[in-house]
Amino acid sequence: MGLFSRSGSRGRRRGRSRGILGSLPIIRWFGPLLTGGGILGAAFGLVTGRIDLPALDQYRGTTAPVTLQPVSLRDLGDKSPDRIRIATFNIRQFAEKKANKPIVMGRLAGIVGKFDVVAIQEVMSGSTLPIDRLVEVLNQDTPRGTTPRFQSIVSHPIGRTSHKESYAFVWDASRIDFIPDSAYVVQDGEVGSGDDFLHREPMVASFQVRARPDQTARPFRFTLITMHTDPDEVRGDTNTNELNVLDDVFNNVRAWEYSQNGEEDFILLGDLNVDVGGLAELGRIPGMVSLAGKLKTNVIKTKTLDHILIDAQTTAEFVPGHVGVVDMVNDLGITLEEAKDVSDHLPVWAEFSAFESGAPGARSPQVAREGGQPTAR
Amino acid sequence: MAEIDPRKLLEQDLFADDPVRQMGVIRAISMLEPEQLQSSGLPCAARLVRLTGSQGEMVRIGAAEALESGVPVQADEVPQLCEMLSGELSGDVSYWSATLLGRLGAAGQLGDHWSQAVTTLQACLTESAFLPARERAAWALGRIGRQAHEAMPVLRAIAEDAPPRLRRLAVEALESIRGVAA
Repeated sequence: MGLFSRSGSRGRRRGRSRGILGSLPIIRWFGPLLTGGGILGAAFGLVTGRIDLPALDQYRGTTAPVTLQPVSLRDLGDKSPDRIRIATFNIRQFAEKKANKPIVMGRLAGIVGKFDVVAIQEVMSGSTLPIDRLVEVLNQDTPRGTTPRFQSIVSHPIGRTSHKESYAFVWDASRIDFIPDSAYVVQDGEVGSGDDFLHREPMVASFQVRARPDQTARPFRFTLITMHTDPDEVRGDTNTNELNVLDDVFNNVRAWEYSQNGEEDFILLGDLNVDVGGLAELGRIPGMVSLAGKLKTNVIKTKTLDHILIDAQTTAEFVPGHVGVVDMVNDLGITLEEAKDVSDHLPVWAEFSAFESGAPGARSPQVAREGGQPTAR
Repeated sequence: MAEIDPRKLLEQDLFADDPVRQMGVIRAISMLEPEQLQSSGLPCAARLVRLTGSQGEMVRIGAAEALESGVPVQADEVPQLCEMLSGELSGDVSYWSATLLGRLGAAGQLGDHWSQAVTTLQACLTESAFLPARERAAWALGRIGRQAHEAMPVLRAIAEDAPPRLRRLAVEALESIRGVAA
């Protein structure tokens, strides 16, 4: 049985599954050795004076105050050929019932259609039906006989109890290519096993901006890791705090994708159920930046729950300042009650260059200064 | 057609048996802010826990999602939660009962019912047939902290001999009760 199903508005087909079963455990074998070696090496460097600690400050992002100027969705205008928009959206309880509400689905399609790739959390019903319906609405104006503009991929249902959720990615195939067979759910061990650290293991998928025929610059290629944490497992300095596990996931996925595909750009996005200060070890990855920073992401705008995280040392394609939430009440002109029928979360988005930036590994200090909230303490 | 005020709907339908009205209750809860739910004085959280064991899939999903979103729970709901936890109506009902007891414990809001909560969680920890409920019971005892000290012998035994994740949670609960970790 495949882990995923993929669809456009027509011609649904089952996607091939590819887990990293067997790969992450291998990485885990190396992890302790590398960590131990790293600690010994660092200790040696410090004792002998070969490591200049003050010089490392340049890699910490910045200590300057962050001035975030979120851009309203209404001010964004049409999609640009030079930039892409990536979003994350927890669509509360996105099941058949919601999929059968035409007004709600129209609003959802209106939001999702503004972006090039959207990571969606809380798909329910144990089927792809809600996402299939959403993609149908998005593609309703596609002329017959042409390739559907929006496509999707949905994970299998994930969770420890009978309350299971799927993740989905929906993308604008006129601008973005899904890398075939690149999607998987991170394998975290069976329920109750020693490797069972995450309630809903994240889903990973890779994409690339479609190059124009006359284009010489390399199109931006990136891997998305989407996650919906369990709000009861994101507190405290413990091994079971999911944010203290997600850093390993981010690093392992990064190591795996780099070794297999030369992938350099990773974006972790989703409903993490914490603000920037609660990102724990995930936030302490060097260079990690929450692009939406302190923006409030619940529908009543009282809490920061959702994030788009990048390592600003390696992903320089983020367009500084071009980040925000879709304020459903103001941007769509609906009441709070109507917005709550869509979701209790606001979509969070950020813009990236459509082209790979400079030399691989080029750092983007501007990102940390102008674009987001440094997560390192 | 004008919509019914969510507060009035809750007063009227909170204990309804009909799945359609139960869905209305879940929607009404999602429309109200935590302060409004708390001031209603209605046992909404305990009711949602029971609905996670419903026959209706949408009711089950809706109730669990509302609980995960953080519906406020009050100290006077503890006896109902303990009753549902010991009754083991379904794995999910036990799981959510333990979760809410843990949340109340972490907030220091078990009131006069903390002893009952600790005893019931210990029983779940050793007797439940649903592993995620046992795991949540261990987690909840850790969240209660020092007041759960009478559960330490049981937690020590679990930390020695139980499925791996449950062992890990028992160790963390012991550290929390001893005041070693948060």
